[in-house]
Amino acid sequence: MAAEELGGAPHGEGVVGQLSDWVNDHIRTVLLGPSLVALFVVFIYPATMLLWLSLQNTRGIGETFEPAYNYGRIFTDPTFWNAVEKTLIYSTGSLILSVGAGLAIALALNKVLDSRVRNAYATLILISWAVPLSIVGVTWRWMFNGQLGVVNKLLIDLGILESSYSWLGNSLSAMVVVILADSWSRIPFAAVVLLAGLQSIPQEMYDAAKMDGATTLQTFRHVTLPYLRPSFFVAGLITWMFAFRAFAIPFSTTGGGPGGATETLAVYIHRFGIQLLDYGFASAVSVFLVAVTLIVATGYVYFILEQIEEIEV
Amino acid sequence: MSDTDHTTDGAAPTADEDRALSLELDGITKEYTEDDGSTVVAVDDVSLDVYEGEFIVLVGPSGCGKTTTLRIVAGLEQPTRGSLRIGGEDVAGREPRERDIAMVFQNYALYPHKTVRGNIAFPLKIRKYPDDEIETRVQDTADLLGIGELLDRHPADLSGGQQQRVALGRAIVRDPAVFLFDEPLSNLDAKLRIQMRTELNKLHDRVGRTSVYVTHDQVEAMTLSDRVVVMNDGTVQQVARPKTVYQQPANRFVAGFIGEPPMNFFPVTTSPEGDRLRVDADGFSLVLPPEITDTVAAWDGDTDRLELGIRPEAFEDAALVERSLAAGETFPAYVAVVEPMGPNTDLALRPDNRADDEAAEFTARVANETDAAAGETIEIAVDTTEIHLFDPETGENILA
Repeated sequence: MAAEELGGAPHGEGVVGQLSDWVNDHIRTVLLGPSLVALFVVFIYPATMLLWLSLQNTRGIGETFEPAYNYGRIFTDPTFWNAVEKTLIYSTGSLILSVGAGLAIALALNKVLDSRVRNAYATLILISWAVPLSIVGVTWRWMFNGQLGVVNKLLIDLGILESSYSWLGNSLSAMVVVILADSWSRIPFAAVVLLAGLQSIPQEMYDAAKMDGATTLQTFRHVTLPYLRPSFFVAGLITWMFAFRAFAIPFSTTGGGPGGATETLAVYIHRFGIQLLDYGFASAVSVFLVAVTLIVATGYVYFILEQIEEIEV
Repeated sequence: MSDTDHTTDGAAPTADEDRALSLELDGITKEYTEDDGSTVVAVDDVSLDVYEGEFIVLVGPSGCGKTTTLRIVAGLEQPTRGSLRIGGEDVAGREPRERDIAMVFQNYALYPHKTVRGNIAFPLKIRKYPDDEIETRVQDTADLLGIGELLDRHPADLSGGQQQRVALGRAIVRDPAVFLFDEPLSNLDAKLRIQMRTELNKLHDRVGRTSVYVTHDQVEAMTLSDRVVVMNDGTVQQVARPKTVYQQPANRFVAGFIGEPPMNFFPVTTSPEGDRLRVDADGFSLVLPPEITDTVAAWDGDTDRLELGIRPEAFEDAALVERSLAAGETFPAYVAVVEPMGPNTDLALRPDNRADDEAAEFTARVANETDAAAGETIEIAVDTTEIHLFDPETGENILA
């Protein structure tokens, strides 16, 4: 595109002039180039490598190109289906807990009329969101430690437990603990998104519901919930996407155990790729994980857009 | 409305044997405490009686307390002091749903996820009406408002005017004792607003329920109301029929608020001129007719210095006045701007001795045959029977 077409400066003289002419003539390249390079380095190249590796047989010495080999193994490995099941339980549990508790906190905060107090509190609760996930995992592992954990100590002191319980040694309780740890770190995000949604509901809507004779519960059902729907979907999708691909919390809390009871897909990929060095297979499972996430997220986003369109008057 | 003649003028109408009282506000006061601990009085000792079937409009500048007053009647706010009776019953502490009232909101407040049918039916569903009655009532209401075809649409698919009708429908469908309107037309464009105004008038004639309507638009106030309540700073300035508010404003505030273009005010000194009263402003003098002279003489306050009010309509281009004008009815004025309006022409004038002083400008509305041109000096006539005089201290209208 020539400078004249843009209504820009006339062609300049000297080195600076020539340089600025070149920039004007290649404005798209100049503006988009750096981000394209970054995108290539951090996304396109690794993603292509991942795809490429997933087509290699990496068992034994070296790599051999066998496109169907790893993908064929995925669906016949019984521990893969275990990981799928645990991932679904983990992500669903975390989704329900964090959005549910987030809603409760948001509703409470929305009653705080002083915006300074409300914002200060919303910022404070974000701290648990800011804690690195692996730290969260280690903290929860120690809290629920069978011999030294504070949870056992408290429960025994309160007379609820008679003796120490091995929380992380039992399949069911280990899953509950990792889900609790995961949602603990995601509740603030859900709360902040839902609070923003609550704040955007016009006061007039509550007044109108009151005039129409609605009780508090009916107002919640006919005004608050419908208006919050888009926020629910945003908070839910993002929470679910992260929980579905969760690695740091289950890995640092239980390492996937006991006996694979908390082995999510990401931990499963780590086991094959890093521990067993079968990175071809690990890549194939990764491709599967990314594909499922993308498909669900895309469908979800279209759904959200429709919802938002409906709500906008 | 034929019933209008029964309405008594004045802030506290005397007992009316023909019509029952629908709303009684007695000393309603609303105070808020600010963050810094200071108290703001939003509504200050408002008393008002509204008769069954009457259309009352609360009008005033923003922040005058009219909306707060309406919300107190609705039950959305509790008064700090004062009592409120609806249909003769004290409603203190009662929830809005226990008051048999409906309200139409400025931004319509429709439920976006419900269809038109769902919106109109909502108050009936909440009150657990039988399904077939809901169906008939919703259809009848929608037909009355001309939105019978839109029942299955969502609010987002409707124009502003249609949304407004749905909001009206949701209020009418319950057949409440009192309707409240909070600036319901302010979000519509000018043309639609005039159309909806006429329809509201017709609707009120048909439904005939007591209505309290809040607006900052004086044209809406004048055209819709049986009586106008002019408010300022949380207090009632005047309660009267629209014509009275215009012709006999109770004070300087009402005089300046009602009327478009607004009334012109001039500080004047008074002196006798024969048996008449003469007022001297900076740049012109007027000699007032005997009736006004007598009224001023009977006034028990100080009348040496007064505030003279002349509506733009009380001026006329002296060249166009057919009768012969006496001295003290005209004065020379410099023409700053000429604005032809169609049926008449608005002139921005300055007294001739202050032709360079923009602050001295006042507005005159003269017949459109005027030859006045900007930069000239013309002789301007004043209909001295139409002037107003205010106490400069209290703002009270001496002649009303």
